[in-house]
Amino acid sequence: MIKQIVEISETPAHLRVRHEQLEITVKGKVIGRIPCEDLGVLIVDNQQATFSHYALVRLGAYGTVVVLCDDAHHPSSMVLPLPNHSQVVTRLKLQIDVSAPTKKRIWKQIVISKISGQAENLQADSAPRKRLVELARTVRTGDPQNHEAQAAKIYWQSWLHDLREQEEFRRSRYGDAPNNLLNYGYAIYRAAIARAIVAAGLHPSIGVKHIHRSNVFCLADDLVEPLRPIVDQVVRELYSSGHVELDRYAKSMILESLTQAFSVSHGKGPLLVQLNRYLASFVRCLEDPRAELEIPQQCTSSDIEICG
Amino acid sequence: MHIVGYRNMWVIVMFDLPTDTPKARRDYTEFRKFLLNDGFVMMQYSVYSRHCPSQENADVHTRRIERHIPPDGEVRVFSITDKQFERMRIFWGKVRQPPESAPKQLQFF
Repeated sequence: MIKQIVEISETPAHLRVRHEQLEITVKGKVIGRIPCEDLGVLIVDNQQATFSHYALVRLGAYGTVVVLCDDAHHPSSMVLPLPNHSQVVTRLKLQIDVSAPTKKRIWKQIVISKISGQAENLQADSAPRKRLVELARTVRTGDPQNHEAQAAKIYWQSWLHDLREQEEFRRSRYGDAPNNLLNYGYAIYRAAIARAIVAAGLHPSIGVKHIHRSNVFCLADDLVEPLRPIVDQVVRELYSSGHVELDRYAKSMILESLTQAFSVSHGKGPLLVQLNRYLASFVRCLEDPRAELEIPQQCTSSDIEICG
Repeated sequence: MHIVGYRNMWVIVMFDLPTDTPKARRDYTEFRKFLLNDGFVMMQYSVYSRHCPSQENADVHTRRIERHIPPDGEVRVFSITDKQFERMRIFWGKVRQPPESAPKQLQFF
């Protein structure tokens, strides 16, 4: 089922849970009420917002991920429920025991999908796009030649090129607009995928490629890679129409992309739902070395079918 | 993906439950509490509604109600599409009020 996304940014609200429903209150008056069960992602971007402990506990129990933003409006931390999946120990063992060849094979598929997605975002028949397609085609298992980085270099150089001939875009976390929009988008997608990881009974800190001692979300960082071009696409549209501020409109466009239609093998549905299928295929890959990772693909407008 | 009004459902629960004995009153309170915990909100006394994003989800909540029916009294459950729900005419005295709108996929506060 498609879950709701709620962002608290304009009102310094107090959040509490009563009767298993999240109540958004201002000075004791309830201004919004959402059943915890229906809530997928809660983003809090107001420095005056307050929470009751019970609210965070109950939201956790329903698998809602709570994203907290800092004073620069950048998502800075997330409250993620501990896995309470029935097979959590089996899955954890599966994750730890996964062989190096399997990890490399999964990583190869992730890189191919990411580069292909990036190619889609560039102008048709342009030279950089052709180079990306070629790079995607020749990724080897484990990506030892680091096609991912090679592709990224080409991609970011020409990402905005067809919009403004002279402009060269530099992707950096603290860089100029539209870097701010990209940061927000990536952080939201990371949170969404982290939620799907936990829901599948996996641990987000055991990755297939990313290994960083202080990173708790290695697996989320791995699995989010193929989805980044979706964010890029939305941000580019925003930027080309003159939106450089991370305002309510920009946020709503980015968040709305999570409800767009995507397909995973045969099934179609909103991306937020498809992430669970993506994770299910990841688990199959861990169990069976011959299984394929099924990465959500954007549906064209003609084959959209409504589903919950 | 846009979630259209024909797929969005509202589940409506109406009940008449006895409150003549302490046990009946407790059954009544428990049923009402169950409804609130399941995401229902009171529309009128003894009339509760809940928005569901799909028919499947509406079925889930209908089945949950069936599992919590109190031993005595009458409970009616039905679901209608959001399109039908929004055509509901609501009056306060003689003044018309708009019906509750379905929660958006994305909400800002």
